Amino acid sequence: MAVAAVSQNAFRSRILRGALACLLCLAGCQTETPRVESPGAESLDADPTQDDATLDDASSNPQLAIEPNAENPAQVTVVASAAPRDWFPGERIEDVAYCRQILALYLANNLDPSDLEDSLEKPVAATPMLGTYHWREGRLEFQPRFGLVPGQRYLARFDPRALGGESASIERPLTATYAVADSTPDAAPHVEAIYPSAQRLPANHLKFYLVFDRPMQRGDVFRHFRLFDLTEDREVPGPFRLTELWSRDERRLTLWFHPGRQKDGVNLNVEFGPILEAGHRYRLEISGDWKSADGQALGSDCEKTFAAGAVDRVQPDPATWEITPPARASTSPLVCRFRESLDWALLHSEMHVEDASGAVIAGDVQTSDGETCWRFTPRQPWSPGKHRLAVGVVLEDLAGNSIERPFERDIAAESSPTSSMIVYRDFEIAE
Amino acid sequence: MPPTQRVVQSRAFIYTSLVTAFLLGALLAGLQPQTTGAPISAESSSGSTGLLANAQTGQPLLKSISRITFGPRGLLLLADSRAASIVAIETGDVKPGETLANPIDDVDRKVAAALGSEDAKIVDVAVNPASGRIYLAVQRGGEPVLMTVAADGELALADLAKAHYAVVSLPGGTASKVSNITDVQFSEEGVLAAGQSNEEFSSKIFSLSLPLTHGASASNYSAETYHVSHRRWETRAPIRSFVPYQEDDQMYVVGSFSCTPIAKFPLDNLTSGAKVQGISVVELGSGNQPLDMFTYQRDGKQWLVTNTYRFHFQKNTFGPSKWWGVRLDMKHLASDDKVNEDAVRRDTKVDKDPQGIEVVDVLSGAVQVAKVNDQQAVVLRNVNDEDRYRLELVTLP
Repeated sequence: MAVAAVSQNAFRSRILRGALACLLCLAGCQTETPRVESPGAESLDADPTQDDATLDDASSNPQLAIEPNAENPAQVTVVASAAPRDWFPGERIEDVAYCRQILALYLANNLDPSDLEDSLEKPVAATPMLGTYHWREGRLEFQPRFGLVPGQRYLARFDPRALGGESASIERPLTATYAVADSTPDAAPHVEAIYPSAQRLPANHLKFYLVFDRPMQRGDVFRHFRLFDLTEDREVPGPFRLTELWSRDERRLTLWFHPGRQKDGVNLNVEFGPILEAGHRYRLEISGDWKSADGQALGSDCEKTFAAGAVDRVQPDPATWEITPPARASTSPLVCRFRESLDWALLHSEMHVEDASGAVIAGDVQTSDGETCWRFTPRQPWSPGKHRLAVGVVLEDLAGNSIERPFERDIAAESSPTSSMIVYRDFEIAE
Repeated sequence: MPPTQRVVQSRAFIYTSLVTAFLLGALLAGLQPQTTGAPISAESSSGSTGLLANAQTGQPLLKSISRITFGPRGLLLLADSRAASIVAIETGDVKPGETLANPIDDVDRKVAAALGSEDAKIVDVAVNPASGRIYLAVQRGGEPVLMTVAADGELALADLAKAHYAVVSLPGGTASKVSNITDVQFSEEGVLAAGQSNEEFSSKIFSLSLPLTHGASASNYSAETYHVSHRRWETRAPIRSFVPYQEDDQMYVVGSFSCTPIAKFPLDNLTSGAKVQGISVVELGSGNQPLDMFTYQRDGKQWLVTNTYRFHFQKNTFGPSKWWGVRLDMKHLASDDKVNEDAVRRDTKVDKDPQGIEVVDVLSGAVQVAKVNDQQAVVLRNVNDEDRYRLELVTLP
């Protein structure tokens, strides 16, 4: 078992590292302030080959160890012992406040050593980790409720002085430190794609989809985005809607321009103007500082440049789409071309193909040409006969105009949105 | 004669039927397989509050936590956006007690320390009206955590090991495009929630009928409202926060949006899938993102309180913080004529608009606000616009 023990007299530290674990210990009682060593430091008297790092049962001195789970170094048990074997009043094991005075584990990254100092008048100020205590065979054990986080450092503190008796004779608490090796993959995260892929977007463009190869850190993500007006050589202030909308696999962020600025006549639009101006060129930047959920930064900035075209207030009309049926008995794709770029995500979620009976045909969707082209490749060869393309009316273009309704609907015009949820385009595969 | 109005709150409400459609929806949905992945206990019951059906026992398995609120008798409602579901938990925390004796400085860091991770964020704060205890919704990296704050300031994990709970899915379950449940609230005959799609620009209101049935699915409505600033419908702007509200036996959701009208949505007599059009009643001023909303009574008046985040970096009219709060005389909600393009607009040049729209000084810096009672609220306050936060009890004006 990978365990490090600390005793007052022996003053020895050991490093035992498994494939994923890095464990460091030192006798904090010998120093004025707890020392926290960097994982992997070789300056201590480490001997990874030794296997005597468990608590020394024969010792009468107070001892402290952090024992990682053999299979998961993020799961640990903090163990304290002292002499005699009944040194701890076991009946008080449910008294968490009392137990914490004696044994606790702390997140040590930014721990101020003075927060661990205590006296009768002033208890330890640092907030200990939450977990459970057990009293077993002369050992007081603490198990943190949550697994330790790779790359972060932890400090255990054992202070037998509150117990009285022989154990209370030490001058200062024992401390031990621990870190789980950062097991993040070697490769940095990266942006797999930014949609729309078109290079020309309407001046009332509404949203981008940022697709990553892995989940990214959430919370306060908008500091990682900037929009530059390349035509006027200035940053566009406040363009984004500050709402994080992630896909369920947490790899896709929907990044919105603020609708209030993209909508004609709305207060933000009136006071600050639209975000994009037709004819200008822009660069959307994603900072390389942004980290993945596993803690690795993108490393380099990612960008998309585009030109702003005319404002688009026209709804997509499936009747105008050009459908090219595939050959029978083939698995060639059904191809559908639009007159404008449509929303990449909705092209995947709101369009499907049905056979004559209305059964949905299984297959894969691809988009291309700046999302002006939709291809559907069936898993099974096409059967001849009538088919239909089914399209959800919430399918939008880049400016938020859907088949159902324009993004800005003038109530004075009293036009009523379409009431059906799906519209169809029939096509036939020849015999 | 002015219309009667009443705020629907967790302990005293009136809520006429949220209709047979809910019941039918719940009946049908109750036959659907569970989609949340929560473990099914051999024991199921109606729980101890009488508000659950087919209740499970034990720690519910959560995928995320985005909003929390309380119903009566210690019933916790939790929005699990990642699982596209609302989780109702009987906390059993019903013994009245104190809320918080002293402010907790650096509460965000203390929460991170207690959970052993610097990547821990307080995403919502709620107060259990049955006990006065503060609850914190925390995301520890990708892991949801529910914590309690004792009156002496001690942080602990909510002990739900023996709790009864029910999980109700949003329509479509995890295939739903609603990836962000922005608010959830209890009303006497139903639970309401609001959500945003991560694809199309849309706003959804969800209704969960009582008793909350484990394995059931919510009804949903599409919401749209009129934007005060121009004579066009605000196309489906997402509701950020809301309160249930009743007026003349008509049930409403009173919601707020980014940039920032407050609107009411009539909900009675709707069927699932219906579209509901909101009526804008007050414009608080552009460039604000509402965060929380609650109501309280003072001196014979009913007030609606909301705290908002000001994303207008150039404008700084409400004090030093990006976060500020405002209270609104709820008489404006009952107006029949001052709506939509004629809705009341807050005079942004004064703190106390004589129309009954007032800046609440104690909410300066308020990132999260939760009502304790008609006198007090708990505030998670940003300190000096730095990345530091304090949890404290404040007295409402």
